[in-house]
Amino acid sequence: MDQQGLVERAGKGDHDAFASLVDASLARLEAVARLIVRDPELARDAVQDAYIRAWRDLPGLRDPQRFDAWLHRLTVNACLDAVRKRRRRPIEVDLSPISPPVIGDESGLIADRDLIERGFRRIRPEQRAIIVLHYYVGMPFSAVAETLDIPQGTAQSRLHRAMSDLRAAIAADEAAAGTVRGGVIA
Amino acid sequence: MNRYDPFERDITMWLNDAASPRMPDFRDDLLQRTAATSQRPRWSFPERWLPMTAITAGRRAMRPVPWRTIGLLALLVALLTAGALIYAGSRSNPAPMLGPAANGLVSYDIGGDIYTVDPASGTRRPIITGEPQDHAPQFSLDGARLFFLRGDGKLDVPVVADSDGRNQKVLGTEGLALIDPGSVVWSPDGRTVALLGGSDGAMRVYLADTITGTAWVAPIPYLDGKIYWRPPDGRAFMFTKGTAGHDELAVYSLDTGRVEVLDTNGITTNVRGSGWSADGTRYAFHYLINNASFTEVVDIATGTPHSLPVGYGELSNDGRLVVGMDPGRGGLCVIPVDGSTCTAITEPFGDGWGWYYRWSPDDTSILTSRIDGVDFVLDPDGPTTQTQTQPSWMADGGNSWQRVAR
Repeated sequence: MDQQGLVERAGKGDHDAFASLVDASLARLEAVARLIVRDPELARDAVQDAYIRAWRDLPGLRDPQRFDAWLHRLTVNACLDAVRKRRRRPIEVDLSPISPPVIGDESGLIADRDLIERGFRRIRPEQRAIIVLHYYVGMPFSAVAETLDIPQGTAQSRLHRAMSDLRAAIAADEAAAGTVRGGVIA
Repeated sequence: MNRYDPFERDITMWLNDAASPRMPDFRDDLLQRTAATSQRPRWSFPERWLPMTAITAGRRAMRPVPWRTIGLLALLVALLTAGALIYAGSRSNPAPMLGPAANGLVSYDIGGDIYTVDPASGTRRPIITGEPQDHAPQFSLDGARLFFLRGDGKLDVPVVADSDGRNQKVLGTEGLALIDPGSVVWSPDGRTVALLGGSDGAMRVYLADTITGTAWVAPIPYLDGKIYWRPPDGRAFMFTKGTAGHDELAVYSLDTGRVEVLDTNGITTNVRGSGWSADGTRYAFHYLINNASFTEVVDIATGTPHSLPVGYGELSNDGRLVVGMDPGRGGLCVIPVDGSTCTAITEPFGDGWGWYYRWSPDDTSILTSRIDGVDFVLDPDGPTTQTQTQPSWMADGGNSWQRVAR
């Protein structure tokens, strides 16, 4: 049965159909949540919240073809809610040492990945979400806009700003670590 | 053909590596929880059966007319209008386009609306509200007008208004694409706005004439960096052209259409503009070499450069001081344009905060933003231990500080 049929059946209370929808999307959405919240436990909570809400509110979904965008929206919102709730608790500081850049043929790649990881943590969760939807999930601007319930132009400018901030975060980290390799810092 | 630039490709690769999707071990637990959860009955979603317009129209029709509320609201609007007129009248004296000015309001956006906050009193006012998603407000240099972007569902279109949000005028969108909201720069003559944008990794300079409403793409080989309008007439701007690894600082004239290369003392690596002196007789640029950034100030008449031990320098409004990063110890420092020693105003930092910085209109403060979006106001005189606490009036952000007459 195709997804539309599963969504229609799940919307009428067929839990087996909903389980099929979960199986088809859970791994991807859990990865999306991990990328946005940068915490496996928090991602787990957010994804569970999103699916429970999806099951509860599925009868209200008017257009089954928009299930994917709707589920992504629920997941992103659950992630941002989870991060906001965590901010009210004491901040946990990651004390793991930062590896110095490795010298060698692959040093650039390794350093870049560490830098991207650290830079990605420094930008806001809302910015991580829009980057993940566009560059990881592969959504075009129109789908990102629909998922986040914002105009397409706003989605474009927010993504642009998020990428600028990510570049700046990475460049700042490079400069602070003395590893700048000819960046594009303005 | 890959539509992404190298940085975007790196991010995409990293996201795919970092995500490594796998079926989580809580799948069965999740399905047990959903099975135990009741679905909302279908009838409780009226929009499932009726168009939302019909629902809202019906609700409107069924409501009694709240005359008392309307009367109170009308009274409130009248009072607010009178207050706004008095307020606007008290601030009608525009600031000089160049040099230091007094500090006025700070504008910011939240949820698609634009607000101002008075740093002196903490008073906040919504100035542009409504359905459109408005953002990225930027006061003109005389503080009399406001540029912002409006999401129309497809593109962010440029809009200009009075500083109180009235008399809005949508500008042209010729050639407009993805805009960097942080790149908006007003020309010193208060007529033209430059902004950066583009897609497919190729950034371009868009120019919008706020008088005629027309917009166009500057026909220049723009490479990177901020735009700095040249005082005093604002009919030319500085930008970086060239190819990566061989940068050139250049000036583009709106009147002649010519691009002239500026002297960068033989430096061609990672050259970016830092600003002009208020009289337009000197320009500053910064560059990156051997993992350290430095700033140079050049006198146009003599061509004499003066090197400053400060990275990514930013000229103050009066053109006397430069704030930037201390290349030796990290952190921010301030140095006179003719000086040789950069005085630290913060402790060294290594986690990215303090990367963005700009001078307040009166040059008595430096605004800096941490990478996580938290903003601080620093005293350019230090000390290095000064408080790094976000003032309450900056709690909702504030990227544009209005210049007003002294």
